[in-house]
Amino acid sequence: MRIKKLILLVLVLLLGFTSLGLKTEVQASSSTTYTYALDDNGDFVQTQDAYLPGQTITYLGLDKPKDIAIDENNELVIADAGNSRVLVYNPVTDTIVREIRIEDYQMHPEIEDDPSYTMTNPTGVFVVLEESTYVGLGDIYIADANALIDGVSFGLIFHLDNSGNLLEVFGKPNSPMYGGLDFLPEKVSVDKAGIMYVISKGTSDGIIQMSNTGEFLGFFSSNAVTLTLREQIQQFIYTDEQLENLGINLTPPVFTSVFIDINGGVYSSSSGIQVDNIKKHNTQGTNMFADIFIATNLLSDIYVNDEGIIFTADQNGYIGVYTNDGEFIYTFGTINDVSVAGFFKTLSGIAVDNDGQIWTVDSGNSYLQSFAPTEYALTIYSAIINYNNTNYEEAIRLWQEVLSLNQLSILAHNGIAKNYLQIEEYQLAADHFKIAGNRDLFSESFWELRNIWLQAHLLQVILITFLFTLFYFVLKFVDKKYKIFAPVRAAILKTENVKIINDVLYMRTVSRKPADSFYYLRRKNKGSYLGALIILAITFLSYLMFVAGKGFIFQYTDINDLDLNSIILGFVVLIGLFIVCSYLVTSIQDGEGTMGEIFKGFAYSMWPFILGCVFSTVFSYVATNNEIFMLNVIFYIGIGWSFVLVFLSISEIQNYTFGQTIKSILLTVLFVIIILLVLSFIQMTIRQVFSFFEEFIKEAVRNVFS
Amino acid sequence: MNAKSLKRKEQLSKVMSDSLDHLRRLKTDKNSTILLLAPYVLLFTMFIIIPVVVAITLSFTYFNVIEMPKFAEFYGFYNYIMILTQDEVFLRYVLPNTLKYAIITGPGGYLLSFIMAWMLSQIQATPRKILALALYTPSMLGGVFIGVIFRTIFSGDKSGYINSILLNMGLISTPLDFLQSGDYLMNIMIFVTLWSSMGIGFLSMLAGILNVNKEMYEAAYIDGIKNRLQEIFYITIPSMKPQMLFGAVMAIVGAFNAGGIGVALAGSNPTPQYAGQLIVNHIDDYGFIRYEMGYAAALSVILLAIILLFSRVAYMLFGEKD
Repeated sequence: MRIKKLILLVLVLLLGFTSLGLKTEVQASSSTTYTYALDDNGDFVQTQDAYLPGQTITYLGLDKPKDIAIDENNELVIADAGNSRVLVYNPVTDTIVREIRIEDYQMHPEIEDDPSYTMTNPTGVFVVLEESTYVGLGDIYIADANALIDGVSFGLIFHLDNSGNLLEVFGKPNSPMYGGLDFLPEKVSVDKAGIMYVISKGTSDGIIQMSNTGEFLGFFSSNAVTLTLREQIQQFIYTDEQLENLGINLTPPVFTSVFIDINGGVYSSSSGIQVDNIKKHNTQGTNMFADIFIATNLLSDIYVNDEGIIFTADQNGYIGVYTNDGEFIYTFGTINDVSVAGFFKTLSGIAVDNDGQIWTVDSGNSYLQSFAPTEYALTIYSAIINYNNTNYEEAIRLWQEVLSLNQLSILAHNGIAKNYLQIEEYQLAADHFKIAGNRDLFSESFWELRNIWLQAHLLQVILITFLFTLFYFVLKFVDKKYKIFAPVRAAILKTENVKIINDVLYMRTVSRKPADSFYYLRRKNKGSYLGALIILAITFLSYLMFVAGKGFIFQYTDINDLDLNSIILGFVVLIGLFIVCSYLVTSIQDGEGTMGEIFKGFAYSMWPFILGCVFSTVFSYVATNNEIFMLNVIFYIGIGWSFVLVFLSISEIQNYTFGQTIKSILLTVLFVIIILLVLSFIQMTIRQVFSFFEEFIKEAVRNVFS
Repeated sequence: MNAKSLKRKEQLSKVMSDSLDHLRRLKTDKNSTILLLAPYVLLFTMFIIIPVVVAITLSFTYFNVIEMPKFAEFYGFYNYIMILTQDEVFLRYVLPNTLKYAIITGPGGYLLSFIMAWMLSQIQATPRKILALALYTPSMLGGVFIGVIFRTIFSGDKSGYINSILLNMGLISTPLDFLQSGDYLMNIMIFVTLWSSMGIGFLSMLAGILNVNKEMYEAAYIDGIKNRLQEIFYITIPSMKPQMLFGAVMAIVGAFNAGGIGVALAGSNPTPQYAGQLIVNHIDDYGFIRYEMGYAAALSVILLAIILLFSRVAYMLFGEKD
């Protein structure tokens, strides 16, 4: 019996191990790169694998394939540039359906002198997926910058039907508007009306828009030149020649691809250091994705599936996925010379088939690579689609599934919260937006919550306020007659008359009547050094409260990420330096004040600043983005008023004129900056000396003892 | 005593009794007081008190101009409750917009008026008169005319002056839609209002500054003030407190009552994305587009309350006290 049990145990263990081993093996081998998403601080963070490398198809004999598209039969259409052909390939049956070559083709051979066309370098393909009177289902458009007409090189666009017969050829538009620009089409996309959107090599004016007869309609959209501040100043001052010598590039980033999805939305990708490399255009060409986050900036291709989910390919081998609103989902892939499935050399084309598989072509490699979505990716897409179709309950269920896979997914928290916002579950929405760090939409749901509260309690609030006001007046009246509060008043007066409290409270008078108060501060027995010190401490506390303690919507840096030491040091050092420098500057400029007086004057000017900090902090807990202006006003009035007081205090204490005061403040600020620079130099030098001695001793120790 | 002095005494007592009589008559004759006050009271009642009372009464009703006003629900407070809890446009756009607009253009315009008035008071009479007229011109032209001028300047296509300049300098690639996009409208409204803020308050302050006794400055210099800033603080402002108060109240009322400029610039009420919607526009919208007079009246009462509140603040700052 015991042996039998033992054998059973061993068998169970063995089985367990083998299955375990198998499982890990599968996971380890299939994914070759990590998938990255964003965390709530906007940093990349590793997440579950969204796609696993699928098929690697090597035998097609591709040479520098540049573009890929999916046709109506879920077949791949590949622009095989190096072989001067376009290939239609069916990955399911694993057959080459059609090979399109155009060599000395005459459309009307019966006519004499009919031009013959040759396709040499197809770099862009587009397949029509929706039939209309202008274009047929499955029509293929091919962009070729180096095509030949009767042996002479021309940039051409070929229009073929779905069985590969050449229907039309479009060359350079002869409109005078197009002018003398070259026409070297690299990519092409076509909308329902047969209007072509063409990207021409070396054209920085934008996407060329051509009618279905090949007439030039205009430049659809253009990229802006992005210059650094220094370059902008140089551009403003220098002549064109000087700019050319400096090598400042005034040509805007180029468009690399244009895509029209099944709903007629026009998308484009650009390559270059700028912020809006992914664009979704409206009919006028304006970018509707004005300020979305874009993970990589050397995009080579863009593809949008039927649900509007956006896939981008980056030259550096990154594949990025975005929602239909342009919200970044995740990115994966990398560049490497090793021939491993999922690594790229020069990722040049991307397309997604009806089964959700990503197909990529790499102009450095000669094979096709597919990526299969994982459950994780599919759930996310499904949740997004359900949200767009207003199935909010289902979307919430799916997002919760994603959350159970990845508790930290910002995307999921954001997604779930948006659904809650739609079904008016504002509290839940606010909670999830808070986790996701989405302050704008949190503000939105908080606004709703506050509004609901107001609706429920407004009458009570009004009633209570009214009763309190009534109560106050009644008390005031009774007090006037019978002096019931006389002892309280006496007590308050007594505390206010304690020297130090009186000294501190004097700052209120200063802020109201600065001119006289600074004089009293100086000449009469008002205020004290201890009082000034206490005021500065209160100032610091309220400033700290403002920096670290605002409501979620306005607290942009988390309290844990704040460097408390540097705040304290900065506050003390800056104020100390300002006072000392102000004394040094004014003492050689006929100033009458002493350092102590400057110190007192500065401290006693801080009351508005304290009020501004405290009130805006308190207000930030009940305010939303709608009221951000009020918050700023409170804070800036505090700062501005305090600044005016400091100004007046210097003017009054030193007995300066307006101009002299400005001059002395500017000099003081300059002096502070110089001292800070010197201090940082000294600190760096001391560190150098330290490290020198450290090295020295280490070396000595090593030489002596070994 | 001779006859002459007797006669004199008689005369004196007659005069005295006459004047006493007169005093007595005055005390009893209240009609003359009423008569003297009547024109003012009548006009004030007719043009101020009755409209205000009617507005407040209407604010408790539902009134669509055609039927008789109906007393509203919730003891008449229906309109107010709707405004403060249900009117999303009001809470989300109109109230923050109005506060922003008023807080910047009120004190901003006030400060500008004072600075301009003070600067003008420093120069000779002839150029001062010309410049004062020039500065006062925008207030005489009115919102619509200013709207026309600035619509040309801020026009949203290439032909707009600002857009044309920015395009020529290469700072933008496509014309900015200043007036129809909602992103810029509020700031443009504030700019235009500040530009045209030299109104009646400015004139009163100019008069106030010019009326300050010059000898006071001389005396102050003898007493030890050293510069212009001190001159303003110690002499000018204290001597013209009434004008300062008048200017402040006018600035506050003007800032909250302004509404034409946004509609004049954007060309429509409501303004695009409610970007330039102020309370007055909202009242206009409800009163004269939707004909919900009760609701509009309630909005006006709220506006009145806000203006009163801010005027109190102005009185606290500039009123005659201590």
